Amino acid sequence: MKKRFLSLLLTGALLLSVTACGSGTDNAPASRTGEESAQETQSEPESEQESQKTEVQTQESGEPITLTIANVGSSQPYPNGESAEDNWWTRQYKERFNVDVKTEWYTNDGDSYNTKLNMAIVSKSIPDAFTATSLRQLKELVDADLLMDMTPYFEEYASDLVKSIAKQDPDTFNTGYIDGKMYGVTQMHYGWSSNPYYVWLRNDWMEEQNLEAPKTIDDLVNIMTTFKNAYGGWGLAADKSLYTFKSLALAWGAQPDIWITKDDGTMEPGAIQPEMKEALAVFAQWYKDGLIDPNFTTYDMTAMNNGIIDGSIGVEVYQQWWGYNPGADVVKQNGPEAVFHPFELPTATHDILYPMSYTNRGYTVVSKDCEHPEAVIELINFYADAFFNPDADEEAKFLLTDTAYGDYAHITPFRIQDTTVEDQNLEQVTYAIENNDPDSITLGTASQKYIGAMKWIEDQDPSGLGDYFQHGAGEFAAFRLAVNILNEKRYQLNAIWGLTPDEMDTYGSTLDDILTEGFTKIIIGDEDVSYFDELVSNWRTAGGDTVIEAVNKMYAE
Amino acid sequence: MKSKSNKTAPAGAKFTWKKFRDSREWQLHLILLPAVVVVFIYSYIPLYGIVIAFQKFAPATGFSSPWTGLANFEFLFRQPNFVRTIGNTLYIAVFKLVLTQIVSIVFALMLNEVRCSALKRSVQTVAYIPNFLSWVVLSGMLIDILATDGLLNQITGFFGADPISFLGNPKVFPWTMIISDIWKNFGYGAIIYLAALTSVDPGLYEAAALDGANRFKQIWHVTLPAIAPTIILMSLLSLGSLLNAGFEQIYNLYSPAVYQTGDIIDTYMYRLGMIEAQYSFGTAVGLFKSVISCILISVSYWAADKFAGYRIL
Repeated sequence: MKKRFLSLLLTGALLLSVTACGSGTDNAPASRTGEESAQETQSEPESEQESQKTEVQTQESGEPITLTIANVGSSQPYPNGESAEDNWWTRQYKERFNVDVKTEWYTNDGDSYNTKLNMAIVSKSIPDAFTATSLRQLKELVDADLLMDMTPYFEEYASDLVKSIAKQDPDTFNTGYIDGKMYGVTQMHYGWSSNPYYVWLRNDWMEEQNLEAPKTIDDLVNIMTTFKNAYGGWGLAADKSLYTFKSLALAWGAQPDIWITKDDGTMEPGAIQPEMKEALAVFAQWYKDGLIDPNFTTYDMTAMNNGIIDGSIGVEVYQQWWGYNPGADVVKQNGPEAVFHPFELPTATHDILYPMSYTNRGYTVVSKDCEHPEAVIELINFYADAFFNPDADEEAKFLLTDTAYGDYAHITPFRIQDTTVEDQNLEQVTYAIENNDPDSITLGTASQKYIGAMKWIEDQDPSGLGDYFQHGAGEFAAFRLAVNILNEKRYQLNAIWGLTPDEMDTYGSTLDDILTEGFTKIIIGDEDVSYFDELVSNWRTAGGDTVIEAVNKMYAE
Repeated sequence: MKSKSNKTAPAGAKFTWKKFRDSREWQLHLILLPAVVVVFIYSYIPLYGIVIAFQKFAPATGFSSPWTGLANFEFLFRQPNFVRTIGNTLYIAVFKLVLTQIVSIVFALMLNEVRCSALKRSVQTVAYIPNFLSWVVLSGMLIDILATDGLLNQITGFFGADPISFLGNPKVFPWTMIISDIWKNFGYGAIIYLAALTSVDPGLYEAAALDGANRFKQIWHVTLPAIAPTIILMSLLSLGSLLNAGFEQIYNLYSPAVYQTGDIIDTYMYRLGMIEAQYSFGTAVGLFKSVISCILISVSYWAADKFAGYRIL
């Protein structure tokens, strides 16, 4: 009997460990412990600071203010042996504002940040200030009644600079308001000039083969073929996400990355329109002609970049940050001559209209239990001053000129992005390089970019290549191309701006999967291009029609 | 092996606290207690999370999210891509289970016939090593080796064969998974059979040899019958993992090009549940899988008792 009981228990345990793993519910104990520790840390400040609600700016006043936060970093390490808990920013907060920032938890990447944050939300133990990464998350937090209405604090404490940033793109900034109250301080975005994809071409090969900048897709095919014949390898870099093909499809007037408004006024995803079919037919031909590595369906972006780095491919579709990755590794491996230059996407049947979608770095949200919401605004002001204020004090800007203190190491809840800053950087860096006049630079970010670009120009130091190709490369500065595109209004806005219906989140990934899989099959020749129509009808019955209907209903209102 | 302990065990008839206290087994139970507590906390309590599968779960509302009944399951089974993952999972898992067994047994038998013990041990170790490498590491190597211009295709190309896209061709992909999994695991499987082989009475071989049986006859008539219970037991117990076609392996090696034949329940659940944060659907898939696994484990336990005379009690 005893034995039987025991064995039952054991078998049960065995079974349930399977169940527990399978259903992904092992979150519960973790969030429980999270709750406890959160309560511990939160109880401290409350007792100390009852008396000083409005004394933020008087830093001499005795007792420091404590703010608990959650923070997300990147793979970039903190410089000089510093850490997420103790770095230049946290020391500045202490010195300038008498604010102790306590990191309740910290993750290295956005995915685990979201997972952890969701757990914190479930257990209703959120820090004083943190970043809500999406509008959906912001709404959930408001529905759960966890957030403070920041409207009065923003009005009273936000600096003129921060308020002017808010006015740069009110459509985006106002998404932080729910029912007329500012529950999230929108952190804004880098501006549309960061968005476009370009064709990056290996420059030494272009010169050796006497090739011109590509104007049409035929020119591009000519370049790919020439490279492949002369240097082996493959014509075009691609990975399994198919973004290379989706970007080039713009040449046929397709808009696979955004939703479009059709002639009859209804909205549909660009990816299922007939223009996409035309483009896929051409890509399938490229694949057949051996211009694309047949292994691309197994490559992620890193694997794809390996082909660029080891010198077997000379054409890559990429955004403005090519110089950081893979660029730096390309020149380390193949020498400084092997840089790639960006060109605008070539055309086939249509002029290129670069897709522009709603972007936002997140929302700074404040717990409704926070004692000092005004301090949060002060720290956001400080971030804006350090990076975007020409008149900020020299200490802030001087320290930021250490490129190690780039964008990586800041404290994520206390930030706001000037959406025009990349354009200003471009003008300041270009001017300073052309006139050899670093003193003309007034912005913290611009001086960072200038120093990076000069590292490349003077010493051919690969670590400066990213900054160089963003702002410092003259006509080949990626942002120069972007500014031209934007000035000439050669872009198309996503018909969906910000809000999406629930149906879209429910079906989102499964529907994208269907298209990615189908497009891949067409490109690698498993299916004829006529399969496109069948694919679209599969997509519609698998939930696509439901989503289209929901989106149109939502945007009709 | 089929013990009658249920009927004959002296303490089994009537359980009383006095007997329990006086018997010397309570110390053993005490030692077991921490393990039971850990299992209870980390395996039983989280079971409550299953309710997510029947809710429209959002982190902010937590477990008090609105109930939706079986809507999540309905949604899943309407997805053409989910239904095919069940077929893919079974296909890959069945071949992995069956073939790993066969390869392990054959390998153990062959190794058992090797007389030079140094060779025997080194071969065994080499075959055993891949088992210790994680799929994350192995997949990086396999992607290189199995690429269309990779090592394997260069070798077959030398003999005039056309290159095969092992990881990109949906027809080939499941077999790439099956064979690479066997390669990784057969050494480990063979250890159990080698252990079973050592318990075979050498006298039986001598007797068989006197009767004129050659090596193959000895294996057929002595070795195999001797390890048959182990074979049956191992096969039946592995039924419980029939729906685990190997998430780690496939997640690291698959791509949209081979979803058709390579997307298994676990990878689908991962994409849906974790990447898209659709916790309810992810849990629903997990629950579905757990229920099926539970049935399979029960059946295999029953069958192990019936056909191999094995039971935990």
